Amino acid sequence: MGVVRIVTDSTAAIPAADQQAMAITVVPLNVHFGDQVFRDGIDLSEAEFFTRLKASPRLPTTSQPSVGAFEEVFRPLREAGDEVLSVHLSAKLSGTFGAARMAADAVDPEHITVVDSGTVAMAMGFLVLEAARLARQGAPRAAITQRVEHLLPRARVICTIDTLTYLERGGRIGRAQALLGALLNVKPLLGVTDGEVLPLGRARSRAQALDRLVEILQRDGKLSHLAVLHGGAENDALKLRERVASRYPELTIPLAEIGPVIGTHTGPGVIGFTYLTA
Amino acid sequence: MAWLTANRDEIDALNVFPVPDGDTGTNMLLTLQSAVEEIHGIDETHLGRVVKRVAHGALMGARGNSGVILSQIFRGISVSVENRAVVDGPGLAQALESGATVAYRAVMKPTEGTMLTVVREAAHGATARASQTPDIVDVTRAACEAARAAVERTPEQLDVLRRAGVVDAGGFGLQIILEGFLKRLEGEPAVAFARPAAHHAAPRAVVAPETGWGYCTEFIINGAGLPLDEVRAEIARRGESAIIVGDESAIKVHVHTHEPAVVMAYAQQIGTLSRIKVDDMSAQHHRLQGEASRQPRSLKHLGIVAVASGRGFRQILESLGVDSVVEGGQTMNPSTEDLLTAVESVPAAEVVLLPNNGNVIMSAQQVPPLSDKRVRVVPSRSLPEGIAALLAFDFTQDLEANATAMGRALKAVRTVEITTAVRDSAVDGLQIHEGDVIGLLNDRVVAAGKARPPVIDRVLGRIDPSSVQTITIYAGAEAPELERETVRRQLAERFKNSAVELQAGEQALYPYIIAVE
Repeated sequence: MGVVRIVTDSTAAIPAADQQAMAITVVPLNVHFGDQVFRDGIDLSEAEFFTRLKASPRLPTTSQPSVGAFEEVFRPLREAGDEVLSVHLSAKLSGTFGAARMAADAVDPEHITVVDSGTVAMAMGFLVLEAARLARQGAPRAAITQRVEHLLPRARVICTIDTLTYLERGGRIGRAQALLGALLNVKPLLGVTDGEVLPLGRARSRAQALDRLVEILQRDGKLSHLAVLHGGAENDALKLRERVASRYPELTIPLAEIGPVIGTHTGPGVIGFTYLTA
Repeated sequence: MAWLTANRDEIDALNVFPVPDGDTGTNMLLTLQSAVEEIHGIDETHLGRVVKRVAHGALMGARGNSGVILSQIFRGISVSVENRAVVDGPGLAQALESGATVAYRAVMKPTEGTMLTVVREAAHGATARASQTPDIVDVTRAACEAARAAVERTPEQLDVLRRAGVVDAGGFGLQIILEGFLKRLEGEPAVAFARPAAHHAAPRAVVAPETGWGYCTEFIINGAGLPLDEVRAEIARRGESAIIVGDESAIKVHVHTHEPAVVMAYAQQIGTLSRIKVDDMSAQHHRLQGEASRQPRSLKHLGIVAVASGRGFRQILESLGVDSVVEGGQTMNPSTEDLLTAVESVPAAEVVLLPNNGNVIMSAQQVPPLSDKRVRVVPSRSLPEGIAALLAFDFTQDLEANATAMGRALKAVRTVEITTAVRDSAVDGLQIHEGDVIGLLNDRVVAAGKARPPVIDRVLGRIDPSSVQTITIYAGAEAPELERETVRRQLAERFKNSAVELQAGEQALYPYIIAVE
């Protein structure tokens, strides 16, 4: 009997080095600038993307991987005798989970488990890395799945974005609709909870928004994983990490830049935290 | 009541602040009117029971700080005479003392030289006289004389009165009310007062809609031996947000129902109806539906009610998540009942109430004990403070945590208001003439002049630009389009490192309200 292979999608934004080291297979979503299609994280780097996003007269759109794309990944893994655990971004935000499950049904539902992480970005990345770690130790698929499902409710994404425009145009605004307002100089605070983008509050300026994010982070107490999330805002992200690092001496806190697909929906300048509570 | 009506304008004119909020007389009159309407046409001669109704009416109708204090005086009087069928001089003196005590207790920081001083002095005057005679007319006359003397002394007690050369408006209003009472005791006929026409309006032909929010239905059932509990149960069954108060002789009904005709038909079997008012809430609801339907119910464990004047401000507040905006502000203070009705209409069990005006805070603070809901008042003194409080609203936190955070946030905003002086006056060394443009910073007049842009510049000149992140200009209905842009550019120039935003508040009387954060 083979090992358990971990599959995820590009919105987890797992650094290429980690993907290789942990033998994680990443299926890309797509970004469309007009007629041009780019595979998330493969044809388009984060830096290239945000430059293009700011310059593009038309907003890009995104699309999920096809069922076929998942089948092409699952089939050879099964043929090699391996089992598969495939972890994806919230089904409430994307059809990716659905496509993966259809592919699993077509290939071999008995030996492929597809999990809806209910979250995005590095919060999902942490779950995937944990699954990969257990898989390398030879844990069975059921045990890894159980561990991932156990961690799911602890995953948090909190962030502030410069404008709700991107989220609204992309149709992913969900309950954060409540934050749409008449006032211009207001920074929305958002979170992803139970798979949905939820409003957390508002702030009068980016500085105040960052203060509020730090407050919310601290309210969640002890953490097992923490990353500073950002989209084209590396300097701000470094400063934000500096602010909180001393409170979590036991954690290494990576900067996790969001990829083009999530960036299409947040717009440039997004910044925040993604973490698992202890 | 008639005497107060006749003197209202004079009381209004006594307001020392040159901003157009000269409405102490109006507020006291509306409060008293609500008190009197509560006993209008009732068949009751037991003094204690009549006064209890008066006190209740005053509380429901209380507008502005003066109205709230007046309602508290009535409450104290009511407690004192509760078990008395009639009252004599000493009884009246005791009641006035009780009124003064309750009124003092109701005010957080009692200030001498106000209505409070006048009611206390009137009570002392009455008590002194009552030790010599049981005659109620004599005792009342003594109370009036003491009140008059106390009013005359108010300028000695309050600097702001002395400089403006006026007596305290609320105190004077109270003196007038006592004098009106004396006139009746001395045999002058009661004068019928004109009640607002709206209260006499016949109900429209109403058809219960299949869906929607139904009709806000209000009326009073008059009669004898009315079964309050039964009426309460029967009417509450047919609608929502029912507020049904009263006794055997009159029951005041407020209910939101789809079938106002059915409710009124039932009530007509019980007694005769008066002060009927039926408002179609669906019409109001339709306007908001686009907004509301986007917001899932589950978010609404916490509702927000706010007071505002101006179409633009209403929209801004609604866009920030306010469920019900009560029209009102500087010149038209909403009553406790208006606020209570709004709180009851919000589909949430916990409600944050934002008065957004210094004169509305006290009426707002009367609401929590009157409502079955958990209500917290966040004491915002201006719309910018209210908006700063709303921005601090945290969707993930509960009522208490939000009320605390909002209360803290509003302190971070400075409010600038630009308006026109309604009378000549001298404030803090500024000579102000009627018609001048005046600029206020956190409720204090700090600049005056002939044109708005330079006055704005002088007020904002008092603020250190390095302490400012955001400036929001809310242009009022009277601000011309071109001038709005001029003001925006002028402030963007002065506060180079701040975000300056121009919004249409469309508020009355204040061409500009500016939030500095």
